[in-house]
Amino acid sequence: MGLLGFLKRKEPSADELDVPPIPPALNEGEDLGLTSIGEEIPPPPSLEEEKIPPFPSPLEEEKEGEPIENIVLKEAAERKAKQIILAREKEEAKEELKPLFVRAEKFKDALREINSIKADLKRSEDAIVAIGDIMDNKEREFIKWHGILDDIEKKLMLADKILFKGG
Amino acid sequence: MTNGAPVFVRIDEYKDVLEIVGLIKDKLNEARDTLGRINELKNNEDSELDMWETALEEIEKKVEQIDNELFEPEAL
Repeated sequence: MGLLGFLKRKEPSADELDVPPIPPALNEGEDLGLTSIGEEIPPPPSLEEEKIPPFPSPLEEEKEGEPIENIVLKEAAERKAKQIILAREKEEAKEELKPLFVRAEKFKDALREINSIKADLKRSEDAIVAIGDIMDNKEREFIKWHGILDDIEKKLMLADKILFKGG
Repeated sequence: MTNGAPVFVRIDEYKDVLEIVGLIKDKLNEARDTLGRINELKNNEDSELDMWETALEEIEKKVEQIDNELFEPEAL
C-alpha cells in the first residue's frame, strides 16, 4: 500500500449491496406475457377519425344555466335572421345590377332642362361678373368721395382758422 | 313610336345621377343663403348711403348759410 492508498475506494461485495434476488431460470416454452402486450394495445387513432368537439365560444359559456330549449330557440332565430339579411343583400345586389329605364319623353325633357339650366348658369355668371365690375367702380367712387370729404374738411379748417384769427 | 308604345332609355348610373342632383340642390340652397346675405349687406349699404346723403344735404345747407352770412355784410 502506497502513501495515498487510503484514498482508493474499496469495491463492495455482492453481499454488502442491497440487490434483489436473481429470478428463477425460465423453463423451456414458458412465456412471461410480454409477447401479448403488442396485441392488446389498440392502434393509435388517426387524426381524421378523431372527432374533436368544437371549442365552446364564450357566448355559449354564458348561456350555461339557461334551459337548452331557450338556447336552441335563440340559435334558430339568429340563423333565420341571418338568412333574411343575406336574402335582402342578395336582392339589393340584384336590383343594383338590374338595368333601369326612363321614359324617352321624360329623358328628353330632362336633357332640355339641363340645357336650360346651363343657360341660366351662364346668365348668373355674367351677372356676377357685372356685379364685380359695379363693385370695383363703387370702390373707386368711394375712394374719390373720401378724398373730396378730406378736402372739404381741410378747407373748412382753413376757413375756421382765418375767421377766428380775424375775430 | 308610331303605334304609341312607350320608348325607354336605359340609364346605367341612375343612382349616381340621383346623388349628383341631390348635391346640386345642396349647392343651390347654399347659393340662396349667400344671395340672402349679400342682399342684407346691400340693404345696410343703402341705409348708410341714405345717411350720407342726409349728412351731405345738412352740410350743404350750413355752408350756404355761412356763405350768406359772410358775403352779405351789414354796414355799421
